[in-house]
Amino acid sequence: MKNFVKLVRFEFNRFAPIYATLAVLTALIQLIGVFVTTNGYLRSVSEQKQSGIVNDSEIIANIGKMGMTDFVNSLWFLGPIMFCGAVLMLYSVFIWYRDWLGKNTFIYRLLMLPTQRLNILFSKVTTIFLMVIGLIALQLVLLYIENSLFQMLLPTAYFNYSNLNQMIQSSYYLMMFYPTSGLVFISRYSKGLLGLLVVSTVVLFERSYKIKGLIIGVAYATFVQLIFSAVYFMQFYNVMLYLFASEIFLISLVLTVVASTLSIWISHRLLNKKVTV
Amino acid sequence: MIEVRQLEKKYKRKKVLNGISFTANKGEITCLIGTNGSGKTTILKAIMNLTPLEKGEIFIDGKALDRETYETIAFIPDAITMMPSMTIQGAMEFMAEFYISWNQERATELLNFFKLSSRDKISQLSKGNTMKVNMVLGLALDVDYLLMDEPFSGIDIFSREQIASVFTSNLVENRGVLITTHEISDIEHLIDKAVLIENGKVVTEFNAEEMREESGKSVVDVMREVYQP
Repeated sequence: MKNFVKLVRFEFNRFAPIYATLAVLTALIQLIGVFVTTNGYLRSVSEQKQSGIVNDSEIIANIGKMGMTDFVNSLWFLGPIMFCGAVLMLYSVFIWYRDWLGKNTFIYRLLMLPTQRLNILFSKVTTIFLMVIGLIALQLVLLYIENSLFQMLLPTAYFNYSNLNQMIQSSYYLMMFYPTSGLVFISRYSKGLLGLLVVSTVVLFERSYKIKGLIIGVAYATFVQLIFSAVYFMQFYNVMLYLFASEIFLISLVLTVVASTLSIWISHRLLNKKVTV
Repeated sequence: MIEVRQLEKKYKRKKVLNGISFTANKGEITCLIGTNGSGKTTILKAIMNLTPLEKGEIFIDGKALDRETYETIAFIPDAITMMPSMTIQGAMEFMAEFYISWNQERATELLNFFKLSSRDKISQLSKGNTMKVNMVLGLALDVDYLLMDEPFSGIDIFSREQIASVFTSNLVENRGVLITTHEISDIEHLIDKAVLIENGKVVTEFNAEEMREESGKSVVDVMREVYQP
């Protein structure tokens, strides 16, 4: 356990500069976005006024109010989130290969540590997962700040106040990250964790059997994906009409646990018996 | 004692190890000698469980390798095992964090001996100095056995002399050393035991001192007989 914590800290520190850059970039782009969006909106308001409409309610009827519920669907808001998501997705693969490829043979050291090799897997997966959670928490703080900024920059009549729940509900992507139900939260984030475990298993297959391993790994990932897709479609087309939503949730959760256990077991075997440097 | 029994290993269809067996004793320097591609590095990697085998067993002091064994045996490969972005100090801190057997006093002694600065970044070191850092990271562990893969490969004569002098110092005293090298002349006089490998098999193994006394042959003489008959 102690070694696992040490490895997580080590892995986190390795990516910390890029991670901090991502966090700062997200905040910066979104905050600039608030200013640019507000300016654009105020320009529209003055254009309306120049065209002879002086009544606020008439202007609002024409161009609407401005606030976070509009902003959360803009590229200024979603762009940095998608960029961070893409970087972390790429890093979930690169976190392995950076120890193996080129002149870097740090994997020798990691595999020779006097600790269970499974800790290497757990530390890498945990690091990515914590980074995702960290960015999602940061986004929550940014939502509050951006809302306050809109309130500061816009005349009260034109500001569309929204609480946190309304902000989240007005974006499909935010609803994905911040589910309102605890069960959905567990289901969604456990699947995310499973995704990271499966990606690591694919990498370890490739590192153990090269091209053949990559094919096996991709086939394994497709198999896991198909199982979850089957549950989703059964749910979607009401094939499981005789099951309650909670029962379908339970099936999905059990499948997640089974698939995660399988991935960990395969990774354990590969790390201890098959992987080669 | 490191005991290697009937190791078999294939790379694609080529059999690299074909029933290799030998032992390396504690307190002795055992040298694995063979031509390029004869499987010397593979044997060291297999001992450290860094590459899978088709067949065979490896025992360290009678026990199969497990995670605790990494506190009693250290591998010094021919490439640096730390991130190039680290400083030597950072690399030593990493070792101290994970290995109970890490001996900082010895590490400092070795740094002074090799005239290395702990503030230097690994990526900016010359090949010779990188190898010396690798030696520091291996030798500063209080382990019973040291595996060294081509420690003299591609480095200048002065660095080679410095590294070779480690073998006569107290740094390897009472430890078992298993070394692979092409540059046999650098350490010929230090070798206790030689294991000659060809085509994935042990051709001959002998005690260097006894060979010298009984047959008047040096390790190089025996190598000539085996590899250039």
